[in-house]
Amino acid sequence: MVCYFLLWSGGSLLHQTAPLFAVHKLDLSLQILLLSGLGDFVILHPWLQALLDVTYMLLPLLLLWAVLKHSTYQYFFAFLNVIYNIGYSLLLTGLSAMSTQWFVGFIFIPALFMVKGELSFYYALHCLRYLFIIIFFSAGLWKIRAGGLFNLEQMSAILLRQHGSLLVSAPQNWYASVILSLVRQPGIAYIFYALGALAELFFVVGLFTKRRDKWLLIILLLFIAFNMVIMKINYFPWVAFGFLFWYSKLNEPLPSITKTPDV
Amino acid sequence: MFLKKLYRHNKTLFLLFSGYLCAFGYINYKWGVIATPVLQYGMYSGKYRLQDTITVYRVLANNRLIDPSLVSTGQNDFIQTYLGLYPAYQENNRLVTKTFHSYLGFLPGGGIPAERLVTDEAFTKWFKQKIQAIVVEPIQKLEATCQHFVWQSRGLVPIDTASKLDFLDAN
Repeated sequence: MVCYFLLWSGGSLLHQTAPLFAVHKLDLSLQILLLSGLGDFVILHPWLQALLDVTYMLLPLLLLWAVLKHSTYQYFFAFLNVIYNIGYSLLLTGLSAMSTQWFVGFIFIPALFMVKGELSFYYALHCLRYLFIIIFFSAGLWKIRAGGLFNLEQMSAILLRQHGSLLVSAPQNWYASVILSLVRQPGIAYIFYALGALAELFFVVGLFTKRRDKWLLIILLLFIAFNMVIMKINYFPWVAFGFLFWYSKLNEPLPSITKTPDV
Repeated sequence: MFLKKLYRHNKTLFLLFSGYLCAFGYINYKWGVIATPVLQYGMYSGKYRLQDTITVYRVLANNRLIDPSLVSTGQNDFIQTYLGLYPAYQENNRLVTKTFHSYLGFLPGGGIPAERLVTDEAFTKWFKQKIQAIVVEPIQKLEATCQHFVWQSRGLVPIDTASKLDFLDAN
């Protein structure tokens, strides 16, 4: 609901965006969706945009209701949430300039509730934990592979790109002054970039042990906070992944034993 | 080992998990095309230089410049993104479709999605509504400019004069 509020307050829901045209990306799933004509259909029908937004808010509530009530509909709603969230995020990112990575938590977290039984939930939780570790670690690897980590002026150049309009139009603003001072000292700015990359790479520890999960949780929260403050990139929805590192300390439940009837 | 235990406990979950990991590894190794929900997380991983040209869009609503420090990050991003995106989206879409031709060319219509052509008038009307929501006042006159800057020793300096965006015509 918090993430839905973030989308709404940023005017980023489909009916608020009221898209005019599709922006194709190098995303095979998006291209197939646009080929189906659904993108154009949504653009032409504002009522459908509103309906898709309302459904986007209602489905997690239905899942929550089913989980709290121990309803058998839980598995169906969880599956529906995953599929719907993939479709919705594709539509929203394909019809606007938003990034699909922002939605990855919306897609994966409901999948936890698709499994039956405590033991399966335990395994699903750990699958998702490993998956997130690999995702986060891959971001660090990208910085090595694409060369950003070996470029001392990297962070200063990124800050210029990220805050260019602010630096040009309102250089006297306090935040612009802070950013400008960082740009003027590429070595110090680079430390932030390198620390970010190291934080991502450090996640690989989680593949081998769960004993550092509290550290991973803290690193994740700091990473999100620094992204928000320095880059003004809001990765708040990724906080949901933090719970994976909080609950990973729970022991593996014992398998349920099927009782044989007394003879 | 987790994978072994997972395989013993739940083969469907094992297949889904290992299948996703394989797809993730492949997509990331290939570098370029993604297939949601299998994504790449390489934002700002490529090399950027201080000498890179920075493009800045400025909007004048009722002859008053919209100050990026007085609007939200999302609102400023909207201005910076869409004024650059609109004149380029058709070419962008054509290039993406061309890239996917080898994968989707066998589909009816040659795998080419129908392209919605948006007129300057329609874009202006849409953009004006968005800007009205940002400045919270009716807009009588709307103008936008584009200017390029480069970093020189201590600050961003213009390398051209601000050019008016002709496609935006709301006056």
